[in-house]
Amino acid sequence: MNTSALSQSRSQSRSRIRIGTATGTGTGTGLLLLTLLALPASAHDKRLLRSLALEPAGLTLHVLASVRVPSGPTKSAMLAMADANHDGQLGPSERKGLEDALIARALGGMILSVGTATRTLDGAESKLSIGDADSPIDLLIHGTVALPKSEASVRLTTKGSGESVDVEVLAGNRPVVQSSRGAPKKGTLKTVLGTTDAVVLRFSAYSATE
Amino acid sequence: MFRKIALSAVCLAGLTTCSSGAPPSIAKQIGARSELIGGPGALGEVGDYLLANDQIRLVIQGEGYSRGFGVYGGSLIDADLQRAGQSGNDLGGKGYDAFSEMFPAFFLKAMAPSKGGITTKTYPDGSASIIVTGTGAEFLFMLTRINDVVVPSTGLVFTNEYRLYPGKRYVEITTSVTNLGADAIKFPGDGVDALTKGVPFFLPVGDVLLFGAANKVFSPLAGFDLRFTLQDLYKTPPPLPGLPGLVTPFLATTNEHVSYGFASGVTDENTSFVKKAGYPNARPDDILVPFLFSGFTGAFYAAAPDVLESRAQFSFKKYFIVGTGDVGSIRDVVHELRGYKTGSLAAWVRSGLTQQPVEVSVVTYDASGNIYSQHHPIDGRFVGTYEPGKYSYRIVADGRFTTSPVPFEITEGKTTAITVDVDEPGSVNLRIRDVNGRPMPGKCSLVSHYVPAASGLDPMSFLYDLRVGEHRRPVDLITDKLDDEKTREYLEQVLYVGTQPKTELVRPGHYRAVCSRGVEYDLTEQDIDVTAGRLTELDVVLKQSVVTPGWISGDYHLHARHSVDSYMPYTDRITTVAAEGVDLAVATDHNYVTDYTPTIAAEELTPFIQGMVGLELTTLEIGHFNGFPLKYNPGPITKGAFAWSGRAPEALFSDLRALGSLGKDKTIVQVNHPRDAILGYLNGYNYNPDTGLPEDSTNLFLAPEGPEFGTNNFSTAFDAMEIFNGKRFDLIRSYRVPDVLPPPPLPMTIPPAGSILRDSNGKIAFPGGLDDWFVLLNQDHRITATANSDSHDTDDEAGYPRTYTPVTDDRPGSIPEIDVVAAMRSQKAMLTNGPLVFFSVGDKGMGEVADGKSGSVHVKIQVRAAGWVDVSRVTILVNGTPVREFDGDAASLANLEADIPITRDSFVLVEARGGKSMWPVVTPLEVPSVQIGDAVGGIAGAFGINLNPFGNLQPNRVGVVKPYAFTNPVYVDFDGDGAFKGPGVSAQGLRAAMEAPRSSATRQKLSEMPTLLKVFAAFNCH
Repeated sequence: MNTSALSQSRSQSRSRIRIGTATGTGTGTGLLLLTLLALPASAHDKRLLRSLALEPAGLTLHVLASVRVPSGPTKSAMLAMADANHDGQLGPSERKGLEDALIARALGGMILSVGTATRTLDGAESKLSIGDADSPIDLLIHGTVALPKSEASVRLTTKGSGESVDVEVLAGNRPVVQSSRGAPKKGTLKTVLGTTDAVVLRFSAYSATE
Repeated sequence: MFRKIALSAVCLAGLTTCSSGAPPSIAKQIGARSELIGGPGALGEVGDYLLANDQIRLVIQGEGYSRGFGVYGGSLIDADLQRAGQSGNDLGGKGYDAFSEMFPAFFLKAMAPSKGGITTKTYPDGSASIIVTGTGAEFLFMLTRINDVVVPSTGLVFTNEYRLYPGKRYVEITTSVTNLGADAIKFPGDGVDALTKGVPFFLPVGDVLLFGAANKVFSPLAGFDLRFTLQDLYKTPPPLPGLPGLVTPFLATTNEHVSYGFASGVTDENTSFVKKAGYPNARPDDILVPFLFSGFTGAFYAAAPDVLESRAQFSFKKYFIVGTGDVGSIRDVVHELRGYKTGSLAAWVRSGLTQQPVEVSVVTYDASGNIYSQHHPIDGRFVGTYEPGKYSYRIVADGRFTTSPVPFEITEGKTTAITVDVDEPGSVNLRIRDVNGRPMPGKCSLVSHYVPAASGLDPMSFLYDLRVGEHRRPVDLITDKLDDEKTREYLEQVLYVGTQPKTELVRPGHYRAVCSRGVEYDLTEQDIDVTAGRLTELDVVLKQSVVTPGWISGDYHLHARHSVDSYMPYTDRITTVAAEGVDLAVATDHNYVTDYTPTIAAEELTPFIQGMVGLELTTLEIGHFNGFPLKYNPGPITKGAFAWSGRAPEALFSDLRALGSLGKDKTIVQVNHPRDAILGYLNGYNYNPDTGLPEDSTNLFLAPEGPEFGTNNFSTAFDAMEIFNGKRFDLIRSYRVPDVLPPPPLPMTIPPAGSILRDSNGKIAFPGGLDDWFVLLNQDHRITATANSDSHDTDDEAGYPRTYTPVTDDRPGSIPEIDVVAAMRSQKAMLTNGPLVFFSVGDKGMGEVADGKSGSVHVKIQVRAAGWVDVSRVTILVNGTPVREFDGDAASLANLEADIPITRDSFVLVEARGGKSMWPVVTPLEVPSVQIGDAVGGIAGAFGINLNPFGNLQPNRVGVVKPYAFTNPVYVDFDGDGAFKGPGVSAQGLRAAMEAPRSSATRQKLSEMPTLLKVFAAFNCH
């Protein structure tokens, strides 16, 4: 499912999207995001869980944001609010409303900068899974931002966002060589950003022959 | 004049002694108008309930919908002191009520009285009560979804008991919530976990107060500046369970004859919201003020219990206080209620020169430098109670500089006496005449400049102090230059005058007096020196440089004292409109029918201005609608206004027309500021300019629900739409992404500069009324565009902008209303804040159909402007799209002609604009009004709900005012059927369809995908 505003960005700036050829799957099994998605459905945690994964691929930085609403009262209330006509079902526009709210929740307060420039997500798309009563609500957003060929400094800032964010950086074909949160491990990094927080990452320069 | 009875002096020595032997209080249903209170804010009517003792009187509205600005009956709507010789008559009371409304708030939910739910009661101790019983109900229907989750109210019964004890100047109000259901109820509901992320949250309860614009609201610490104090507090919100807002021991107001106060009666830390929420240094009886907008002041102070068992009840208490016009008389009662040990300050305030009493405001500070209280001396004297300690006072008065602090000390049980000698004020006597020497109304703006050292500073930090009650001094909003004082100008004061010379107090200084009379007169400038203790004469001649025979200018949206958000007396209202050269002033108070005609006659302004009776029907969430010309019915309290809540627009329009003085078919219904946040009709129904249709809201949190909402209730059965409202240029065109982005916060996704900003549904994020109007014209809705000031006070100058219409007699006093109606119904209206634009297509004028069968039309344009109004560009638009632009100046753009190609039935209109600020005649929009979105957003933000997904990427409401004018259209018949037929689909809609996202043309092979893309691709929606 597309989200219009994000998709609009994609359509307006598609020419800027360049996806690298390397697969970069070396750390894929350790994805924090996958771990999140694999959480037992019966975990009735009341908190919303946010995560953000970054993966450089050539001149493109892939960004995957997610938000999870645990099953239980939190999910029930969220669905009740989305059910505008109170018929117990989520029609297309109601589902869209829920998705929009969760997109705002997933990305709320986050600023991604490459060098000194604040960047927006190109070609962003979102997917929403509501599942059955015992399942959580999951929302995923994927988009990209362009990286320079030279060594790239990426800053991820949270400012007044609702929840903390679990951040995982995959090495892709441009490992993290330095971060403001300690030394990267094999070009990867895991950290947590508070509601007003920041992390600075330095990715290696990109060589097309790699 | 601060003429008040000397009640305070009698009581202040010992409040409790006033009550001994006092006669019992009474509570009764009002059976005759003579029992009403009366006054500029009075809304009480026969059938309401009166609560009175020997000190004060209160009116609680009966059942049904609110007669004021709120939604439901059962609210406190009138309050005043008991006054000697104030007996009312068949027309009503003769008191000085200036209060608007107060009702209980269960978080964001109000209370609706049940049928037969209002009763009276008397007690053996002489007290009397009015008890209102009802159920929880929406106050703002847009909050229904949040309230449904946070405030479960099924099975709950609410009661509000107003109990008045003999001899007291306060009413004790106890709000009780009883669970009549079979099950226990949790506060807040389970669903709040979704919002609070597991952080414990205590449901705040309290009241919403509408003090009314005539009352200046005060709180200790913030003084008279609650608005900017709150704005600052919003920047550093406390963590949950706290909510952003001002914590204060009480609220008070000042006014000429009567003041009001509000204090919490919660003394238990376990039921105090501010204590449970952990506000630092808070007392249990402190109040949290989380919002203040459009006259609505929120006051939360009690916390609901976590669980209310079946058949159980919880209660919280508060006090509404009536004072003698100042804060001190309110504070005295607060001290009494809380049992503070106090001493007294007794002051004698007089002119240092004449030793006579003077009218001033005395503001006092505590030893920490925080504002503590404020007094209005009566006949030069006041007495007020203080907690023992060290204090200081300052004198704030018209025509004088606020004095430096002078220390004094209060000892428990003793009286500290002070004598204050006040300097003489400066004063200016203004007279304005025409070139023939005849007096006429006008205004002089007194301009000064601030020192270079203040360059770039916030004017509030050096130019005036709102906390002590000084008025704001507008600045030019030009970037300051150290070496150019013309870039550092501010407006000290604006003097308005009618046909009689007028003297006003002005602070001593050197000023450039810029005198004006609207858009048809040139300016006259004169330097003056104002000296303390002396009268400066200012005698000015103004010359009319633009004449408009056969046309009149009208301001079809004006407010005065019967609007909850305007303090202006009718005399000031009329003088200020006449001074701006407006020919026709249409009175449009909120839910109150007003007639300016008697005031115009009394002020001898009939040759200069004519009044028209009207009304702004003001709903909370589906828009504001003006009706005119209306009948003035002196009988009803609101002179003919009617209930609006729960009613759809079509019914409201019909009822407005039924009030018409010329008949239903000759009454204009005008939709005001259609895109002004919650106040805008097109916003209320999610009118989509891409489709030309209203749409259901997809907002998860803010989606109004009720019988009047929903797409089926949207109606285009109105005549006019106010496209150009005051200084709100942000409401005219749909917002486009600027070349230079504003500072963060910004959304993650930003379209290219120049493109229309859209939300996540692809809908225009901030639609403009002019673009909406183009769509409506394309849909064959012959709606007349209008321009009005929506002026509430002198900060928003009347007549900027205004609407010009043709009439058969253009002399004020003789303007035929039927001509105005005819012009408004046939789109013969030109909208301007400065330049005057007249045009024709072929031989046809606005609202008419020109022949365009040849594929081309000839357009003739005349542009006229007074010397101070810049004109630099004139644009011809066809179907809303610019097709020809002329650049130049007023002389070169005065007469223009062009042949314009036409390819279908079209509408043609002309726009003119100037690039220079209209300062100082028209001041910049420097302080935008607080909107409900700001208020609700503060609370929503505490729950992590972001109601503003665009951050700072939104229209800028602050800025200088530049000349702008546009016309209504001339239609062009291209296909030869003798009429204009719109395409029915907007150009914007077509463009949006073309811009719609396309599906990806190619898909990458899975094996080449980065891991994150694989994860995303593998994720299944279900």
